[in-house]
Amino acid sequence: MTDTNQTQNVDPSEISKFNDIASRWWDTNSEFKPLHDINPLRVNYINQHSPVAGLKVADIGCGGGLVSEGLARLGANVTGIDMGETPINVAKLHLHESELDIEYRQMTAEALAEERPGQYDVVTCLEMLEHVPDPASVIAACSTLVKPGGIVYFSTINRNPKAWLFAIVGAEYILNMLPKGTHEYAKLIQPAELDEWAQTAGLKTQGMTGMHYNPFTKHYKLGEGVDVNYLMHCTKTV
Amino acid sequence: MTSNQQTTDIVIVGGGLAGLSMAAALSSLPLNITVIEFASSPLAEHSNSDKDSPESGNAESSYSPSFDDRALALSVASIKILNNIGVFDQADIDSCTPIEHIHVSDRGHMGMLRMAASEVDEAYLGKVIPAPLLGQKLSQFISNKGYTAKISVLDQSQVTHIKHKADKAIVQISSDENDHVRERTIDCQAVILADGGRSNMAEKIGLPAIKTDYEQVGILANVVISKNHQNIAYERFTDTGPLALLPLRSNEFKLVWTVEPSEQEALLAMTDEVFLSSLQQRFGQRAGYFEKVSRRVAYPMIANERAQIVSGRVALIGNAAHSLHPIAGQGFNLGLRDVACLAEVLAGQLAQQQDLGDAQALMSYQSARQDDIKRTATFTDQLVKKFSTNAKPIAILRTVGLLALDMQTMLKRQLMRKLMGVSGQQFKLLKGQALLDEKLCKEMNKELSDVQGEEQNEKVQAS
Repeated sequence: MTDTNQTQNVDPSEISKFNDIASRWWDTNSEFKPLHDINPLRVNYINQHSPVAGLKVADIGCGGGLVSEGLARLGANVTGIDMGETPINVAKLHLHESELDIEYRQMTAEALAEERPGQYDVVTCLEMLEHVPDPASVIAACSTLVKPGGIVYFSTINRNPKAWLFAIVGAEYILNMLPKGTHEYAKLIQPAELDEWAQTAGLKTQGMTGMHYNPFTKHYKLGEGVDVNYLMHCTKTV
Repeated sequence: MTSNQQTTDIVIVGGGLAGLSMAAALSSLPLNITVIEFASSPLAEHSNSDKDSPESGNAESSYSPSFDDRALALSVASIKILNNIGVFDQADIDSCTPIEHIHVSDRGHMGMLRMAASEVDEAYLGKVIPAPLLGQKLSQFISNKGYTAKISVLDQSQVTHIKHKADKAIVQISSDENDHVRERTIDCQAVILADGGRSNMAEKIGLPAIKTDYEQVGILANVVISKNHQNIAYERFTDTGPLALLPLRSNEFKLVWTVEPSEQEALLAMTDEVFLSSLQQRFGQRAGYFEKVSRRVAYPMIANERAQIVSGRVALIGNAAHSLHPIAGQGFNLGLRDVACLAEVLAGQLAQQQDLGDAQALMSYQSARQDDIKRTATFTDQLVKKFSTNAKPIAILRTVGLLALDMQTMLKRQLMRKLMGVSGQQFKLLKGQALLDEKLCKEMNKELSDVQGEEQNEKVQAS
């Protein structure tokens, strides 16, 4: 890992992992299928807690743009950023198909925070924190980006034996839902850790919900139980 | 010339049975509604076509039965909802064919399950109505009750895009008008998507379908039988898939015959005579002899579910929200319960003078519906899958299962209540309660017509 990458809070191996498969990002039958399946759910969760029409939204770690497009379709003015060159290009290319207007940029959350502090009504950072060396720094950047009173959403995977069994062994090795090596156990984040980092960054946790997958019915749903996948929403203290 | 930028309260996409039922359910409320229909509709203001859409029927002329008509089995709950909205009166209900008994049997096995309406102290388990007749009843209800002032229908029109703003949705519509295409936008508070199972509008707004392909083809037709059907509906499970007969006019049945795709071509191409004898062989003689068959049509058996049925200001109802295998006849009934639930949510918003497209409100519609949809879809799916195989262990279980089912009255009663659609949620429209406080509704309706009157005056003055 080079110094620049360390100051940029980026793990090059994580970036290349997604660069390699990015061309299939919008293929609903590819390794991105779980993201497609879960997308309406998380977009609705966000819109229910903060109707996004007319709001400025920053999507941190936007990848191929699934969440960015979902929110833009509901009328949000979205800026999507990601450090992967290929995913950002895929996201830009897909705008021709979706005919949406989204600003996509290849940069870190920290860099965008420096450029546009306090300019966003809503910040989303979904399935991203478990892929960076210093999640606390990203959380701080999200807090800087959002206006006082604004809302920040995080989603990630819990770190415990059940999460390891379901999200890594189950999803990557048994069901082949995700490419092997997508998640590393040590990088997973417990809700208490996320909550503490958020507090330190000046964010107050408002709620948390689990995202559950039933491999038999192939259905996702939100509900109690945050021991595997979970979503958290916080407000920026005024 | 009307403007290409209009405003209404609610846009309903799709003027089929689900869309018109929704419009009818909302008709008493102080709301302006625009229905967008792809085909031509007798309800359209300037209907420029002679032919009627088969589903929406004709508001003017009376229904003339045809041997090719599609038929629907209405559950007891559905009949109550239609009656409470005012679409059906007692005479209409009486004129539908009652299902008094259901016989479930299994080809090549001894299991046989009989259900009778009398076991649950009802006169019937459901009623069968030709789909065009229901379409016509809905159209007539909207036009005859003078609701056309509040409900306008744009036919030969298609929604091309739905855009979200902070306080409204903007619906882009493209209409065929006398050989030219007219583009217009309608601003509204909420959009109800009722454009059926094969629409891609839900996909476009980010609500993809989870598809189940049964790898079966459904052959639909009407058949005439040698004796009176005695108001019995038959459900027979065969090695290639289930076969259902719904009683229609005295000695007529609606047939839904699921077969393997490889059989489709032959079954459609063969002469009526050969078809009838194949059917007889597959079904047996318990209902009599098949004598005549109508035009046969084939549909691939695909079910769609969606993880979410709301997106922003858009709510899905009917087949747009969920489409089922037709074997249990649950599709339209499930859709009508969507209608009852959504009407209640929207009336609640009206009573509190809140935004009709409020994200929380529409999400509450979604969470109220998810259980019923999930349970009904699973019930139908299990019925198809468990009974479509000839694998020995399952076949044996099937025989035992059917016999056991007949004995376990409790379970059977539950199953019957499920089929009747009365076990689920208790909607106001099901219980016959007003959606909105009568006095409040009257005042709001008056305000609405005053505004409409003023707008009319302004228009007259302007021209």
